[in-house]
Amino acid sequence: MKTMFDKTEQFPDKKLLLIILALLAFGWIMSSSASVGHFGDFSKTIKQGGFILVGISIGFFVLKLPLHLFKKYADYAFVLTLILLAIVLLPDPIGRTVNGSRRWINLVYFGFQPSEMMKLVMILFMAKFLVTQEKEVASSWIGLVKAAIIVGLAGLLIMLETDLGATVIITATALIMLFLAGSYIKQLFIIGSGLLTLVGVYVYFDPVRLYRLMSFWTNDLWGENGVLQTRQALIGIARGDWTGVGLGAGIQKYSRLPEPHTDMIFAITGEELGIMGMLFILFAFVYALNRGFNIAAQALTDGRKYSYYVAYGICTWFALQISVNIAMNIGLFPIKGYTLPLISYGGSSMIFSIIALALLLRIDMENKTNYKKRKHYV
Amino acid sequence: MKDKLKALFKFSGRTQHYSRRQTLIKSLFFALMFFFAYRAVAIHTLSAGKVNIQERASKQASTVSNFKAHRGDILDRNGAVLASNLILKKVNLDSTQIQSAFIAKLAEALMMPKQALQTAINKKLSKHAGRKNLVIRKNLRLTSPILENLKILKKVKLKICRAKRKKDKIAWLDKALIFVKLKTHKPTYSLVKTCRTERIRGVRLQTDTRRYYPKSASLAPLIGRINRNKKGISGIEGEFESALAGQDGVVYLNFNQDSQASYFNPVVHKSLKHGQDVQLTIDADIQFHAYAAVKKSVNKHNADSGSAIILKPNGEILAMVNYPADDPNDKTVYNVAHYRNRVLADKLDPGSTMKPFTMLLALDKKKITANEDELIDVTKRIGHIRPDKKYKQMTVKKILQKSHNLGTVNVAERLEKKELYDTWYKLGFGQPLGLIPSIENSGLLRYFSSWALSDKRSLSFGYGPMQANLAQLARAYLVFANEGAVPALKLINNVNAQSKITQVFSKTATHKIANLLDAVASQQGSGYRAQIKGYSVAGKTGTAEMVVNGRYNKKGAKRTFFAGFVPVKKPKYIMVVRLDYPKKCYTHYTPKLKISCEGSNSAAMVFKEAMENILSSDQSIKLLAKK
Repeated sequence: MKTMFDKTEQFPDKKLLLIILALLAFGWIMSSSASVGHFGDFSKTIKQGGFILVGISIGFFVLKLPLHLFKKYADYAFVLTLILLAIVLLPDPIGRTVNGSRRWINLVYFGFQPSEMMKLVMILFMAKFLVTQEKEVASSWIGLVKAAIIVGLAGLLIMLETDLGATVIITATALIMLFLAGSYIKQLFIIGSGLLTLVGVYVYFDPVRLYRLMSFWTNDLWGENGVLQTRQALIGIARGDWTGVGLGAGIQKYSRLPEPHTDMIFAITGEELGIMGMLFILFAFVYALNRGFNIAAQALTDGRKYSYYVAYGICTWFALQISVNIAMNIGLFPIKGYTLPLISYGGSSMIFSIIALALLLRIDMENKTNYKKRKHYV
Repeated sequence: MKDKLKALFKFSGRTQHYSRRQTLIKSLFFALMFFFAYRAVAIHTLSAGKVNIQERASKQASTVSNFKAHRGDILDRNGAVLASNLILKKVNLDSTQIQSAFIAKLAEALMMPKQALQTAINKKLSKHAGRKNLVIRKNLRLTSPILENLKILKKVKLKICRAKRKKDKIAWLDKALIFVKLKTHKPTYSLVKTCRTERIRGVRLQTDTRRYYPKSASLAPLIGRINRNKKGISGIEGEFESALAGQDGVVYLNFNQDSQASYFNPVVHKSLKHGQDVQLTIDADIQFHAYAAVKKSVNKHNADSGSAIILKPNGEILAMVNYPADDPNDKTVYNVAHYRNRVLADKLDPGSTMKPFTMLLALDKKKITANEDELIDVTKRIGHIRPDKKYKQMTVKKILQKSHNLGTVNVAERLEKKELYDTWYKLGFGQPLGLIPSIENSGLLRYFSSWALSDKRSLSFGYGPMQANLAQLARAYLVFANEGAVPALKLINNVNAQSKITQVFSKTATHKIANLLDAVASQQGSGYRAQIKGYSVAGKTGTAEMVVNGRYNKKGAKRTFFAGFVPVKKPKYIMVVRLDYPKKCYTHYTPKLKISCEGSNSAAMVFKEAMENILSSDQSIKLLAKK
């Protein structure tokens, strides 16, 4: 047990911690505002408060855990998550369906979403894979095939839950991690082509879907076939102007925007707090992730590859998720189920986001710790 | 730099360019975020369709609610309604909603043939596709049986069957084959009939208002009327539009949480104010008697038009009559000339009716005594007025009785221009009355410095440098009821206009002339046809040449007047009558013998006819003791 609670004798990075907590508070307030408007009561506010508390508690615990533990148990975690993903597909009392998507495991008080867990576990597992099989990945095809199998397995299960968003995020994160691990561009190119071919086959059998996706950009948004929700998101933001109509005074959340407290939280912020609110979110994330990327780079210079992959993976995941969410909120991307980490309502996503950021902080603490203590660090 | 790029995209060899790859990913993300920041600001300048997106946003966030104000009533002095709003109902059908099974019953309820209703609905559906409002019945009184019928009809339930087009189902195997493109598929449809009991749909009863004038034509030129937008366009309706119409309420409402349709947080832009009632000093009964008399006379004497005004001694207008007039409730007729309020809008030469004032002034200035022993020589020509052979010397009484121009001018010769001007000015000639300013013609009184010698002479018998409307003339006659003073006229009862009383003549002089005017309306005077049995009547006839198209008419068009008051002592009613160009007048003694029209044989008769009826319903005036 000596290594279990390995003290780094360091504090977490104050600036990063502060910005994370600020975003959490901001998110809690905004998602409350949206959900109170949409549902008419405070149940979601209380629940989200609970999730944040649980998340922070777990995150605090995670801060105490050294990274090598994660590396050690990543395989088991991956298998466990795969099992959980399969459980989701079980019939109704166990699996839960919301809005036609089967993504949740019914835990009575809240639905647990294994695909959110997979986002983190995939990073932990992929990092281990990249460290242990570094040479294969960088030199031979076998590593690449193995990586493809790992990603494919998870992706398939999540696809079965009709959670295309999560699949794309996980696949993209894994690919970017492979890219960072130094795999040949040629190989990545081949994998990319393969994926594109798969998409092509899919489109061949179901051209309507592609057309529907493409029509988002080709149709006139304000014309007859414009997407109503995107239109309303933009109208809401336009209504906000520089300083917004005031917290809670937005109207788009009531019925015009779907899921205002999760997917469309950025547009709600734009309406209620204006451009100022939106820029706060954007630059807070830019600041936080910049620090995250720097932490990852620091871990690499210290030669701690696993920490490096994990930190980079987490930053990449966040970057992708944030980009896609904001893009669809400001009308650049069709509206799909992507949450905005730390801001949107949602238990699983919130808890795993906090855990991921705790890991990032832990890596930073390990970066700064005394050289003598680093012998176990990975 | 070139080497670095090459290294990044190298396709062979071991690559471990961690930092470069890191920087690439990081920079891509940051670039994206900065682009998003730009986009977040730029959204506000987008255009949503044809309008700016912000405009559209604010439009979407609020709605405007309108409330109609009720138009005020117009009342007479006793509270009788002269103009009011009728509440009517109209039946508005939504032709796209009505079930065909109900058409027979609906036609029955609307009391119309079924075929007619069916064709009306079909026409609406075919010709104006997309337009659904069909007003099938309007102007229904609240007592209309159709309303009762519809009430019953709305409770009736009928079995309605509808055929719906539905896609035929296909077997799962076919579905799979179609999915893998091994089979082509054309969806087939079939009609499915569903039945259920329903109530009638698409019948709406809407409330409508219509302006209604109970007194019909008798008050039409005074009251005026409203246009199709319910805005007053003439008369009292037009003049007091803002008070009568009130103010429609406009409220801006913000979006509400409960549904997209409801709004909250009202911001009152214009508060709803219902129209005020306007109470006139008019007495509807007196108005009716005067109207009936004028109408009868205009028709009998074949006059172009007739008007009259009746005043109370304190200046309140009891009646203001104009004929011809139309029934304002009949929307099919509209003749602008028939809505002309000639009493106020026409300026004219009052003619001989002004003679009493010349005499009054002379008496006041002690130029005459007006006694029986005072004789005025009428043998010498003055200006262009020649003596006649009938009279040589006349008393003032005789001059008034016979309405003698030369006699009047003789008296006027003793007066200064300034004296005449001042008196006429005090009587209110040439000054606005302020009753209905938009239509009023305030007449004319030229300043005395510009008078020629003949102007003073013609002024003394109602021509020359002075023209007046009928109300001004009537107001001047108030001196006989107010011991030489004239009060301001009043048409609106519920306004406390400060009443300004101007003393013009002395008390004794007015009494004296009033008694002389009594003699005018006697068997020997020109106003013999204005006598009313049992009452003492005083008055003065007048006949003036009419100006037609800017010059005195050569065919002898005349305007006849009668100005009178009753009773002579303490008068209660002052009435002035005017008839334009009466063409058929008859003698008193042989009613079928035609003579040229004068004030005595036309206007005086209107006075008598109207006053007889008015006096008979007024108990406060005592009948003269029988001689």
